[in-house]
Amino acid sequence: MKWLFLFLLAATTLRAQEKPGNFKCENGVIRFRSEAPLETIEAKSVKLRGLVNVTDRTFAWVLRVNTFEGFNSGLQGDHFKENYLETDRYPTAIFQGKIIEEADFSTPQKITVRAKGKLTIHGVEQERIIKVTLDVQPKFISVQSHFSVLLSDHNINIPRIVHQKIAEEVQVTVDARLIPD
Amino acid sequence: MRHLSLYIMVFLLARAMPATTQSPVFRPHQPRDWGALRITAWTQDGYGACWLGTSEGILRYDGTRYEQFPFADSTLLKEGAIRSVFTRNDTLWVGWESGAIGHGWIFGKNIQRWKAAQTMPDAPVTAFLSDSKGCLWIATYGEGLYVFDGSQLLHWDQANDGLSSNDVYAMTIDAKGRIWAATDNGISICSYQPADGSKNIILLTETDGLPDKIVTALTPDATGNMWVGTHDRGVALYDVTTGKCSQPIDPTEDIGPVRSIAVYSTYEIWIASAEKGLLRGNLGTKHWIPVSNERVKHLFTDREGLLWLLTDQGAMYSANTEVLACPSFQMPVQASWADPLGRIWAGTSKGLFLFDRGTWTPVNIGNVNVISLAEDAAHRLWVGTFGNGVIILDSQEKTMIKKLSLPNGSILSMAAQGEKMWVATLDGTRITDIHTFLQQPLSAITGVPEADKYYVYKIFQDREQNMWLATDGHGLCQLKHGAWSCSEEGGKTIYSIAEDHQGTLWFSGDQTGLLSLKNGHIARRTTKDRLHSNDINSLSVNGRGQLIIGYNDGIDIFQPETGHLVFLNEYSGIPVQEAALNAAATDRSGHVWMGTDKGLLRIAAFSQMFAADPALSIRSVNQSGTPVDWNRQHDFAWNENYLSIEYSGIWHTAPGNVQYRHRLEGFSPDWTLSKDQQVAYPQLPPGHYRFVVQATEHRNFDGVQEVSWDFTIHPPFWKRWWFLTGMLLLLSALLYFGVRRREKRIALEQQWQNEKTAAQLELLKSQINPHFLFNSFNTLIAMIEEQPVAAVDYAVHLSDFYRSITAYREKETISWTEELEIAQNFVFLLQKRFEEALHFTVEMPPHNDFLLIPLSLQLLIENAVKHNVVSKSKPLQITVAFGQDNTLVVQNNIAPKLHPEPGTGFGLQHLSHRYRQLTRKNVQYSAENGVFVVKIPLIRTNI
Repeated sequence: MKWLFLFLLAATTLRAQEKPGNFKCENGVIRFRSEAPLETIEAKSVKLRGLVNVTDRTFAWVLRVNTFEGFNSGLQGDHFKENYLETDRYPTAIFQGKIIEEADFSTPQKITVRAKGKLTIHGVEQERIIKVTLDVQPKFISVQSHFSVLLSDHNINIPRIVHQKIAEEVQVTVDARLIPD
Repeated sequence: MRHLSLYIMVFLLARAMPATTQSPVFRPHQPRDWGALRITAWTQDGYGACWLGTSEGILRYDGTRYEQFPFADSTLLKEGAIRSVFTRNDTLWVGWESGAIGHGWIFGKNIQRWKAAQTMPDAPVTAFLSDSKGCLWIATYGEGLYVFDGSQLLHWDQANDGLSSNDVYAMTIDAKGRIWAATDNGISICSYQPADGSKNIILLTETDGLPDKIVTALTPDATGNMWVGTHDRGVALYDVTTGKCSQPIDPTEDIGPVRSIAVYSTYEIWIASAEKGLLRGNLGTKHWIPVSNERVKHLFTDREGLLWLLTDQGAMYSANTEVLACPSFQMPVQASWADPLGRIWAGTSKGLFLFDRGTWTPVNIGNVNVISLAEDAAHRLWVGTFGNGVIILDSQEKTMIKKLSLPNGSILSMAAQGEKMWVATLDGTRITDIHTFLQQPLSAITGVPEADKYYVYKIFQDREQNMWLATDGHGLCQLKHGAWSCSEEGGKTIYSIAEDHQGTLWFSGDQTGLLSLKNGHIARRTTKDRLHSNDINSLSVNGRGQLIIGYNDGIDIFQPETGHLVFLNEYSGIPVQEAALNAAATDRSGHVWMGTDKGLLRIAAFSQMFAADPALSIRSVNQSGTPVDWNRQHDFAWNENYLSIEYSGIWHTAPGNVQYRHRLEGFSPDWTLSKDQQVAYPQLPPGHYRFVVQATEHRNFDGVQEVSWDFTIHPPFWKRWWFLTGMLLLLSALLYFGVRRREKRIALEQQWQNEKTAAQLELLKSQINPHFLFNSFNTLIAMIEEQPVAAVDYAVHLSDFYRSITAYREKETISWTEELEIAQNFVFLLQKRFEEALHFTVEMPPHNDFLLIPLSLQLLIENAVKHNVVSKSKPLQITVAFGQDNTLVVQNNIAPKLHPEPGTGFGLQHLSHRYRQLTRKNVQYSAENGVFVVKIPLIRTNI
């Protein structure tokens, strides 16, 4: 709840500035893929929420981790969420920061920018620079990104015996559409 | 600890995984007693010691021991992870992720919180630096830079000063003394003038040629140019003089975000990538070679050129990057060749292999036993085999051109000489023309006696194009001006030949040690000259002119100009491999590739750029167990003579190889060899001393650095000149005064004796005063007729009186009782004569506690009678009483006689003198109001 609160706080801060150029997303798609020697696990959530201000290039994305669905079985999903991601204690994942490139959001174009910010997963904050492809359209901005998350970076401990089934580095893909707020 | 060993295993596996790469030996460094300690920051001080910021605080590491440096301010313990450490001027600086900063003296073991200003940094402290003006620079991740000029802490940020960003990833200093800060918006080059407080920032970004605006790492090279590590576009080299930016290593090779860069001059750079682990960039081939998948956070090079790595997991490793091996290619190598393209060819008993861009590939020439390699002027590789003649390859296409069959198909050595190729077979040495070898058979060389009967292990062409043969039987042979000459001075059997950059020829044979030939003169170096062994397997010269000597169990790197030898073996962190006979080649970067029983070792040519000897310093001095500030204190008292001196020679390459020798000049001129880092000198006699210590890692103390400390033990005060002189003077004075006193006392005694004798004489004279006797007899005669009984009584008293005089006159003192008795006898005699005219009153009872000089009172009575009229009309009143201050007061009324009796006047004066001598008090007498008063000081016996 703490993280959700923080997100709301961040979101309100962005809103409160009453700056033009706020874009939001309520139903972004986020996927993760763990390729271990013995098993590949894939899961997906369509509840990624995001807020981007194209004027000062700040952003905040938040995801309720237990909205992930898929997995190879329902049991595996529960196990994953409860034991490794500990969604009871750390219900949300957050990425919040600023876009480094001074991109032009006024003309329709496809651009690649780097988003720098604090990525909080499993309650552990990491400073990250993540490459994002933006497709700027008159009515919306489509966001696509692919990055990896090292479980050890976020204190997510996988028992050694399970190492063959869960990769230490998880691939994450984001596909979201931002519309003017 | 189990966690750690597992981790090391993982690391070693990771190192082996990339399979085809050259890599150094990674030596783990983990303090044993610290469990799962994480090391997050590293620096090296001016004395060679490493300072580590860890999860358990600050540790000092000298290669063998870890010492904890406690925090004097315990609140620092709660600051969390340490981000950066730095030393300057013997002060250690510590920066935390929290923004806290600590500092402390590196000998003091107490780190305190630094508070130089009201507002201190509140963001992770990423780096410290010191500039030429003595300012301390502090980089933060979030608040830009701070600079401390000794009194003020100045803040530099994006909003107010135009810094490219407040998130500073790395900070370094260039040759001009400017501070470079790596940020998300390029580089800020900052200069600060403490005199006028002026700040100046130059921004470098993509428009200035940087490949990427996000700059994450900065490391200057030896020439002052700057290596720039970026987030997405690899590594660039910024030329500080021209302002041009280039990418010397292929920028299309994706290496991920660069976290840290270590530079080995113009030879190679190492980088830590956030995604690809550890990579090595070869500046010759311009390619990246992956070394390990391990996530490395920081890279550092120390004064010896060792590479230090801190991993994401908090582990620390060091690596001797000079010598690399390839764990994936472990076949015995019998021949090697470095071609002009920077590729390495290796001949083995299982065929020929090519090493290119970090990968080994077999060359398809069949399963032949390759024992020698050479390249001709037409860039064809000649492959000498054992039993299969020579195979000639197109080295570009790696295809076979021709197989040369020879009468004896075993080729020991080959060498090109212009358009000719020399080939040494087991059946004699042959020469062929590289253009016509297809048509013409090889011709035998002529001029060497019995050339066909002897093996030639090495054919060598020197830089003046002369050919040399290392023969088994004729020693070293040389072809000069068309004629052969052979010398067996260095031995009949010679194996290897090499030539250094000065033109000295170096060669070795069977157990000969290292031989040199210069101007026709042959010299020999053996184990006596600190050579590791006399059994040399290969000789080669690297790009810096150093001789690389391969043995069965290590390598010597020999500097011909200085004679400096550095021995490397497994203790120096290099792979344990046995050098093969004459299987070494030098590549175009100057590195030596040495064939061994387990593959190829790359021995880099950059060792000369780094320190060649241990960093030596005196660490502490103790006097009887208490520390001495040896920088300042050089003088000790005679009993402060138990000194123990601790020194350290830090040589991280091979800490166990460090040897010391020390001597104490002024005590003994002999050196003492030692492995200890401490020496104690108990019971040093007074004197001037100089302690000298030297350290070496290669057993040779010639020309090594030395450190000394001068001190003096002063003699005890009673042995110093001023004390002895003083004592002599004092003694003389004492003697003088003693003699003087004694003389005085003797004189005094003499005087006393004289006076006593005089007094007795006077007494006798007065007692036998004829007048008294005459008067007494007259009185007696008158009484005999009238009062016969009283006359008898009178005679008895007279007799008593004289007996008393006789009895007491020899005594010094008598009691008051006795004196009173004498006086009463005397008065009795007088009263018989004067009757009512003499009144004698004693108001003091007899008392034995008071003493006086005999006959004092009698003398006073006699004086009174002698000087005064005694008649019925004028009676003489004599009163004796006890006065103040223990005095005997004798008084009489004064009625002077008309004709005074002649007297000597000696009596009273003499009495007074004697009392003064005896009691130090005077006899007081006065004549006032018609009364004559005498006060005699009494002597108390009971006190």
